[in-house]
Amino acid sequence: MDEAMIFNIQSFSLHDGPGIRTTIFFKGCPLKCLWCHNPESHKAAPELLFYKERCTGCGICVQACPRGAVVIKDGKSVNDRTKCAACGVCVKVCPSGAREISGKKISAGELMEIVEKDRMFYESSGGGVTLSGGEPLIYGEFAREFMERCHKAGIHTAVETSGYTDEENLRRTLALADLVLFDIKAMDENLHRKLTGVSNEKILKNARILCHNMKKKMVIRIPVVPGCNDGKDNIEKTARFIKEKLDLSVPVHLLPYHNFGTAKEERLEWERQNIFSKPEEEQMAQIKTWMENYGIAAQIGGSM
Amino acid sequence: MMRENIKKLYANMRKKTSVSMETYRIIQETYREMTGQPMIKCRTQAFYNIMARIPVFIEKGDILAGNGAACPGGLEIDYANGIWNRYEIDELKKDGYGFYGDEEELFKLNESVPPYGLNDGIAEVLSEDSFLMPFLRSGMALVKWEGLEHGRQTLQCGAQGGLNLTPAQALVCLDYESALKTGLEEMMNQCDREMEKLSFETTEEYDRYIYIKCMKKSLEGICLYAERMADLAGKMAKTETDEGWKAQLLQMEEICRRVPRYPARTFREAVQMYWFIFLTVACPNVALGMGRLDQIFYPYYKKDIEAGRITDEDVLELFELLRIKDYHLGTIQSKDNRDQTNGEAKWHNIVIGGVKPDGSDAANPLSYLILKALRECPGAHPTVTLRVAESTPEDLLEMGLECVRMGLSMPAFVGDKSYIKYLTINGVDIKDARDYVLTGCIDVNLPGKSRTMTACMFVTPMCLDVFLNHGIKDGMVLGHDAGDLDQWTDYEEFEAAFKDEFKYFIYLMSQYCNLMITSMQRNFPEPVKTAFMYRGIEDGIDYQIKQMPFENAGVICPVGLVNLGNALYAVKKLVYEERKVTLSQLKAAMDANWKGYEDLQKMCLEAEKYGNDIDGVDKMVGDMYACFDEYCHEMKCVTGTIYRSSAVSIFGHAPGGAMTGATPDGRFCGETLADAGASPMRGQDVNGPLAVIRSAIKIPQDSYQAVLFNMKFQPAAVRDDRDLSKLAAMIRTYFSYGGKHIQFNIVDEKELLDARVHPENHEDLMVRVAGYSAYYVQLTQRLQDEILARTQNEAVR
Repeated sequence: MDEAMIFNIQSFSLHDGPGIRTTIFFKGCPLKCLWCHNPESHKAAPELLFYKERCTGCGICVQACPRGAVVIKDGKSVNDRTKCAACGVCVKVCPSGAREISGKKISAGELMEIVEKDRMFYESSGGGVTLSGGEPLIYGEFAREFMERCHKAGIHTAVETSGYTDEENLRRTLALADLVLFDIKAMDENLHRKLTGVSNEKILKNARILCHNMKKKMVIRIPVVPGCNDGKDNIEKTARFIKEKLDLSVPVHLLPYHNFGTAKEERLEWERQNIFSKPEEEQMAQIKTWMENYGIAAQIGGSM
Repeated sequence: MMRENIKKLYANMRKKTSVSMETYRIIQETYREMTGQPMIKCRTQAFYNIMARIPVFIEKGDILAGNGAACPGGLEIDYANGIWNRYEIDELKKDGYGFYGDEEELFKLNESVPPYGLNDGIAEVLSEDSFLMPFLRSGMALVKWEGLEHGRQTLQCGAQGGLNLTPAQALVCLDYESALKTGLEEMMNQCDREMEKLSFETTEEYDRYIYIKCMKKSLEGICLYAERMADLAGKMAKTETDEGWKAQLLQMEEICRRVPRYPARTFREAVQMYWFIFLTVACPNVALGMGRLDQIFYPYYKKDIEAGRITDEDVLELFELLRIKDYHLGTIQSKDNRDQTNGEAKWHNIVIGGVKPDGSDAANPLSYLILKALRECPGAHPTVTLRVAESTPEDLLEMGLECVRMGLSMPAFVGDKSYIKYLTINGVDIKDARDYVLTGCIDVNLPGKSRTMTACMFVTPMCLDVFLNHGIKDGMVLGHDAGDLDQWTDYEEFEAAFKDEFKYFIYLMSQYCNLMITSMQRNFPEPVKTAFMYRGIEDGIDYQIKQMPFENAGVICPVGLVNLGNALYAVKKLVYEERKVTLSQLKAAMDANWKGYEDLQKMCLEAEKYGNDIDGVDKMVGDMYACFDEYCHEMKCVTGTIYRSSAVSIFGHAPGGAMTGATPDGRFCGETLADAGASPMRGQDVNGPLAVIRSAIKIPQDSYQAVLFNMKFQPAAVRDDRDLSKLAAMIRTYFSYGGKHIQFNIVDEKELLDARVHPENHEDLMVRVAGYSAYYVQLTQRLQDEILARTQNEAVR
């Protein structure tokens, strides 16, 4: 694969690895976490984002759409997502900027040109590039080519992954990462299925491979979502897993859930299914203590 | 920890001030007594009489003697800037301020000797038919003149803290270091020696004799004022029952008997002496350099610490007092101006860090203590600027950032590299260049060796507005008629025509500034200030007139160059490259304020914008910067040099935008312009903060006296201390690539929104406007909107 689908490049990322980083968000993910704050990352294909509040109901998009996917209802346009092919014709004609396409193809060379621009900041801050998503490992070949180029250019690489991939891809791709930010969402197999749609068997196995076989520098990241995975039982199971199956030298970042994703769900015109609250500061502190009781170096937030 | 006495004084710091008429009366009386005598003698005697007669007081716990007005927390009526009449005094009281004095007497005094201000001097040579009048009325130069009569009262009535005479508008930093070492007694002796040397072969020698005599008289006045403070402290001590306070008073008496007449020996004497000079010589003035305080005081600190005479807590107490006492040297204006302007803006600038004249790093324990005083004793004034050199210690830089994160909106950060380079390419010796200070927002000056007499705001997008409108603005002919807008076959032709007109407007600006400078030179001599400037006593020539080692008397501050560059880029692309629209069609759309031309506005808005690291448009903005600078250099300043450029919008982006029609960057008529100098237009930087920085370093900053750059962050984005070190790295990178200045607003959007609904709950909320900090709730609605709408950078997750 010589091109990958990405939906965002965020420079000046402060919480995705050491220093000032440029984070590349790949589009497409095998997991469908209930709380996902990047809902546009689920599908590995372009999608229409619709900013309803900006729509004036002028109807130009209705005329323009080649598939008849737009109608006007109650003074606003309504998009039939089953018909929409995210071709982007409506985006070009919309006079009020209410339409945007999320997702574009990019080659490793093009991506390299973009991240090179931030190099002056990597050098002064000890930063680099972070591959995130979505799931960057679904673009294994691309990721390898890109990281090889980074190394040649002397740019530090980090990969943030769900760990849900086959062993060969994991070994080949992450061998090129200087740092792996490895997500563990839940320890219980059934709970994991319920929350993410997939089993965690592969994930936990891959974590062990990274830690022991590949001796990768890694950080475990746990998104703390109230009512999902924030119970003492799950936290302690995770702590035991790290202590017994990985290594106490592996640090843990506890990332409190935030609801920035809900606005994006609206732009994708999803029906709102899940509403979560942000964890309280005291609760985060409590979880941190539970972790620390196992001798784990835990911190709140992703600063490095 | 803040000491108890400071706590009490700090708690009262933001109480509403009282306007006092004491200096006004003293000046009026002096001028009446001296009718017919030369202006310089009248002004000198008035200064001396203020020193001799202004009521003095010492507030309990305030161990730094000397105050900027006759009553605690007061401001003295600004003699040069108009008259407080019955209406104004009533409105003043309605707004919760006080009046100190007898109102009936004030109204009588108003009739006595009509005040004469800076604009009166300018108006002497103007008539309603003058070629400059349409320009002054257009608002292209801020503040707008409403007409000849009204223009004379631009500032209407004002009051300020400080004991010197007004108008005193020059941006300047006195040579405190030398004065502290020399003492005023020796300076007066020097005056005698210089006068003795003079023979009378030329008229200049006559002038110099009188000038030096006036200097000496003024210096005597300052010593007298200090004596009066000593007498008062001694008298108060006699009846004081609180033993601790009594001891303090006695110590104050002793110190005030020594300084400023004799050189300071201890840290405490040095601070007291500094304060006397600052209070009586430098102030009133809203835009001042307070100097490199960590450098000026360090020798005294070091000696005292080594001798065990002083602790860091004592130092902190004095620095905190300096903050509180300077806060009181504020400004207040007429009702109209209070409603329309800018949160009692003031630019007293303390500089820390950077390198020493020999190139070694200048940071010392006082640099940290000044930041600590800021942290314990926050307030919108005075501002602090941290000079960042390659050698600046990381912990000092991070401590500065921590203050910013606390919401103090200061220190500002400036890059030694570009600032020093600016000075050396203008012929300043490297040792002097390394000793630069910031005066006003972030305008560079050398302590004692240079001064900026005007730094006027010039609204650049209005130039394009008027050019496209055949030289007419609001019905007034202000420029030339360019003829048919569709006459130009390519962009280069169009640009050449515009640039000719642009240059003409800059010429008009330089004429106006020349009048302002001349008005200061002719009508408001300042012998006492000159005494604290380089070779002031030896030369005996007013510092406003004589050539300074670094000559930057005339400075023009372009407002909205980013909008102008964006606008020209859109013209280039849409009219001349893609040929999607003709210039006259574009003009019609702008005249209609885009109404009925929404598709055209969309095209204009979609044209690339500065701030996203896109070379084409960034280059256009950079070219406009270079062009403006080049044209300034072609304008002659009455001090015998050229005009210089300083990309600082002050607060001009708000009123400047209000007066400018729609522009080809897709901007609506009246919309506020981009703030500062290198900041992108609000909401048009969509590629994140690093792209903005990469755009900003494409601006040729070295040749500018200052280039202001503001960024706004969510507090959550930099919560962790490690985030601060990343911000620090970003600052260092920007400066190493030639950036001049960066400042952050780290403030929660929700808080800004709430402050508009419940201002009473957010009285302490500080923000950075352009080059100064202000209380958000005191700003005009327009500036509040602008700050709220600035692009908010968040590092998500």
